[in-house]
Amino acid sequence: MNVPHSESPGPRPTLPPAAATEAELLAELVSRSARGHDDAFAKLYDKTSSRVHGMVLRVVRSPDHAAEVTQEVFVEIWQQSARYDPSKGSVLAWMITMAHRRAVDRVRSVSRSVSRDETYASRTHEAVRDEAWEAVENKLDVERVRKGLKSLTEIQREAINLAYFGGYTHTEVAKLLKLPLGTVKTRIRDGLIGLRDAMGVEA
Amino acid sequence: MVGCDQVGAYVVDALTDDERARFATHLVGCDSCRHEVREFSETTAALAAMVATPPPPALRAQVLAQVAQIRPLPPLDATAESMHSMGSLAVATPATPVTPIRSYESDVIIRIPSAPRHQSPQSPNQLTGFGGSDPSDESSNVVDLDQRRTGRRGFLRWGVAAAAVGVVGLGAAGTVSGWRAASNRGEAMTAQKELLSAPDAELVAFSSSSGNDVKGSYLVSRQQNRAMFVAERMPTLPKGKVFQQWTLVDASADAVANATANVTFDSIADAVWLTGDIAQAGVLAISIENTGGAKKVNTKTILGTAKL
Repeated sequence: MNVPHSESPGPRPTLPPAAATEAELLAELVSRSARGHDDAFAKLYDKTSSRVHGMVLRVVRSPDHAAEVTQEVFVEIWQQSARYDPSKGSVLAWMITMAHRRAVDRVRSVSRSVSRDETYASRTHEAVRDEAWEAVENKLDVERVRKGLKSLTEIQREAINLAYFGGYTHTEVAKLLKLPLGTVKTRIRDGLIGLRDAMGVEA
Repeated sequence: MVGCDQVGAYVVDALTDDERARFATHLVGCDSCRHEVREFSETTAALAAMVATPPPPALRAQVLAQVAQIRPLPPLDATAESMHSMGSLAVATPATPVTPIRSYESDVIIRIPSAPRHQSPQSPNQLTGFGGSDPSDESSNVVDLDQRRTGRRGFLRWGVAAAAVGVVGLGAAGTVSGWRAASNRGEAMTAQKELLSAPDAELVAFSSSSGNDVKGSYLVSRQQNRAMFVAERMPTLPKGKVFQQWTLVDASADAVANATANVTFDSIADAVWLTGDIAQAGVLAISIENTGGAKKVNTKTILGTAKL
């Protein structure tokens, strides 16, 4: 007999087959999150939380703070999802920019009561440098890239390390490295250029 | 040019808040700096990939629970956007008050809290940030049943609803279930929205009194003569079988014998609309029948019922 089969509202929308690269997939997930789809946001979290959390952890060092800041970052990503502009850069760059900013804010607010100079001086130069850069280097298995990183001068690496992973202002970095501020600014920029080239990044 | 030398420090967040604000203004007018900021941001994002460390597993549920309660902010308009984020990829703003989303998307997302935090009619709805807005706000594409506070007897029976609807698909505590309308089915969306805005819309639990492991809910409006079924748990269909909806005047044996056949369905991934006249129904039932459906039902094949 012909009983009408249910006219269900239809299947869940699926991702377009054209979302081939991860970058495109992330952009699609952000776009769907912006429309309130929390399943898309959950996928976005699954794909990016290790990178976000890993970077935050390098900056704030404390796992508890890292977890808190990571949560704040993802809530902000959700809130800002309708304002992500693909023409301005990749989703990951957008997320990491937000994450890094919050991580640095957390480091600075936590250590406001303690002189940051003291904190820095209490650890050796080696320890500060190695923790972050070892992890970076361990992940690289491309000789070309390794060479590129090695090509960064000592001061470039130190300056970026202190600024990016340490959360110090460039003025503080200048004081710690006992260099003029102008030199520090240049070294940071040159270091970033070196890193950019070493990783073959194009915007 | 003054300021360009700060681009590196800007990207690694090594500027003070004042310096940062001033540099952001510089970016508005400096193409080369904007270009460098973009490239350096991709560079530091690549760095993050190299230090990736999974967060504590419990964090996922916490994040999802928190975002379930808030809405994304609406897009910035052109003027605001150019002032905000020229050159920088995002502005880390402090927590801003959430607003209901305006419809700039055709999707309808329907949320039913799995366990209402408060059931009293007076309590403000903190969960969704909709504030005191009109529950049937037509301009919003997000309709939240928690908003449909009841002053009337039996309306939305939260105790039953909470137990019945539960959480479909998501396991974490505090997250909401979702009935999702396909984004391009305008008619289905309209019908769904209308059903939800019906003043007499009722959520009725579907269950079995004979021990079948079934769970679900009907959303019913007699005024609109519409009913929609959402399954939470149903048995796996054997080959050659389908589920079938029925309307009955009541739960008596006589009513079963005279039950009116309604739609068949085999997927429980989406809501199932009933057809025809349901305004007179006293009981809704679902049975398992051969593909193609049956004209008559008997108590042996009935899986469960919902009493309206």
